[in-house]
Amino acid sequence: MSATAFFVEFVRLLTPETLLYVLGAGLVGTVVGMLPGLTATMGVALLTGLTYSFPTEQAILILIAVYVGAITGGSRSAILVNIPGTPANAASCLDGYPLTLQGKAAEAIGLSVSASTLGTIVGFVALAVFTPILGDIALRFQSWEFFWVALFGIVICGNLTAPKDPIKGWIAGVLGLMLATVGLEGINAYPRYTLGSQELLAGFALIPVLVGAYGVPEVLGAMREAGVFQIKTDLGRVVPRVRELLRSWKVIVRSGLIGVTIGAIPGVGEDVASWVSYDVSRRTSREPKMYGKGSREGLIAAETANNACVGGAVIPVLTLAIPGSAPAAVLLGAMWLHGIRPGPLLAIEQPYFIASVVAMFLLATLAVMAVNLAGVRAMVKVLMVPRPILMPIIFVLSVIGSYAINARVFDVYVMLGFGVLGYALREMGYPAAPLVLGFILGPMADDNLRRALVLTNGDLTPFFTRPISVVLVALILVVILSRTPVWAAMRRALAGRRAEEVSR
Amino acid sequence: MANVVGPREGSPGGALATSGTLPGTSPGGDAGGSGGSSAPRAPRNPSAIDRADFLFGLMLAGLALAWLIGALRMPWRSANWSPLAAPGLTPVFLSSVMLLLSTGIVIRATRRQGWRLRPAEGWRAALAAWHMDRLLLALFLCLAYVLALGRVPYGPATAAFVALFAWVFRGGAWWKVLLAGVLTAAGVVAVFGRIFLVPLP
Repeated sequence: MSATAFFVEFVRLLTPETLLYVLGAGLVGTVVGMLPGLTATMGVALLTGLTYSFPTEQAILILIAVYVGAITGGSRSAILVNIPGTPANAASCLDGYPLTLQGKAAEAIGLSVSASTLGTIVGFVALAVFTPILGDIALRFQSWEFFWVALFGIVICGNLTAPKDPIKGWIAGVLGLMLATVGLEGINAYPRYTLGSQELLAGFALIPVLVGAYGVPEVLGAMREAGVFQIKTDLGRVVPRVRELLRSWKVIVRSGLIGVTIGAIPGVGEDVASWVSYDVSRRTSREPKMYGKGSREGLIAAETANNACVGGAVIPVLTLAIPGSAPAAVLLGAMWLHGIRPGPLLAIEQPYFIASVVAMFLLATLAVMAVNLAGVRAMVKVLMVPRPILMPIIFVLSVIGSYAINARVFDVYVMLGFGVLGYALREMGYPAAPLVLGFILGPMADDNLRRALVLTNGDLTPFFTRPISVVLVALILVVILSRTPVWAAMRRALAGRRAEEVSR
Repeated sequence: MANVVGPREGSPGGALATSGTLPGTSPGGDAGGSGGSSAPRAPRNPSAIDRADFLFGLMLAGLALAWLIGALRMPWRSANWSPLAAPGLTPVFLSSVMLLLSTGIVIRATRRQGWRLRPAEGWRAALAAWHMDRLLLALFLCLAYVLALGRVPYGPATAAFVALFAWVFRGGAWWKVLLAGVLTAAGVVAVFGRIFLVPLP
């Protein structure tokens, strides 16, 4: 992707209509992110259905702006009421809320908006630089590698989203892969598990599954418990904190890189990025004792990383058709719906699309920053809407979002069914991200496994001998083995030997 | 000042996963563990998550088995495909992995006494502490709304759903919840149905 292509695409987006849409989407995303219980995934999934009739570029731009806006806006409630607006902002509570208690809410919000903007810019730069590089590597991928990539995505996502009990993450992933086999299969068009239903021939549609898995559990969960909290602060003027950001440039660069890297790992999203970045920042800080008591560095680390993760998560979407995070999975689905085929051939088939997405990112970042600095005081009033009124409205929008794409009531039933399943799984400790990732990667794993076997007449050797396959298999084995007692025993033995050597 | 109903923490895993503070979770799971080797070991009370793991693990194993049987019954040879490209190949692989993983969960839960499904404090107390009534009520209202789609005109159904939901969960005075319902329905029909031309049920 050349700088000229990016510039041409950016200028092409600068129409009054598009600017209005991107500002509106940035606002909607910020509000969605701000409201505890509504996640970025939910926001992007809802808007996918609602913008289905829009021209492709405007629809994708709106979704990107909602994504960036939600991750940025989620820090509002984290800072003001100590409840993260999205899981990605959980780490921001630790230092954001103490700053509010010290009467520095406006400063904290200004800091978080600035850090988020810089984080998104780091992600945007990574997207521009690494997408073509990874795209070139992806061109070497064939059926064997795509099968392993799909499996690797499930294994790593399950491992990282269920850190205490990875087996549950893997089960969720395999369940997603299994549910993706429902309907006509991709090679021979044979109907699988349709139970004679005409509606199941096309399988479960992606958007109802996503809206169900991420939206309905929030509605049910929010209504299960009653409680009241209050915002006890007066917001002053929110301005960018340039001086403090310049002082923390090392934290910003490091957190940005952490965010981008974690974003690029399949299925592992902004929440993991912000926690890892926060932890690394605390460990390397000169003032680690300030963390958790209103450390500006801590807030910057968390907010930079979660926004940088957005750009990182889109890199594998464009190059491999594998989502780096849950909202990126919806974005991938939206691209499919609009007739775009992300993957290794994207740069060849639609050479300007990658430059266009990079330009959309920059525009969305600027719009979200403008919206967040200008309208914070007005926006926090949304937090005053009682949940018993807000939640049914969210459900109504979920219904329309699911229905709009195919105009089928059956999709609404699918949405509710996956919502109940998602809620039950969440309550039992099974994460939703691997389930959704498995559902998306299912056709890729299925088609490529069988295609590879046909190509080699049943010979399994290439699965384990092709260079990229070897790397992927090794990574999968390391991730799985690292969670077994054998690994723990090995580490203990190694530590014991070291201690012995030191004592000598 | 703003009053907002506070949600639970958005930690992955949810309420049941954070055992210890949960309904049906008895503190001190390893009761009797310090009684010495000669003392009779008191039965360990399984946590809510152990019981859920046992039950759900069995359900997953059942699903995997059904999936496997369904895959094996698919045609493996035809004029169009060899067994290597048979539609049942991937489902056999996936259901076998699922069977393995779910059996692992069941075995682990069994070791932790998860098969003792009855909560120590009794079902009624456990369900009450878990706010099952509120959950079922919310689910019932959502289900009723979804089933009404296509049978009742969209606008009135939406207005009634929002107003009833808000009223049942005490979202405000009757006129406020009614206003919220009517405004939501009118707004959705106008913005999505008329301006953005999104098809409405």
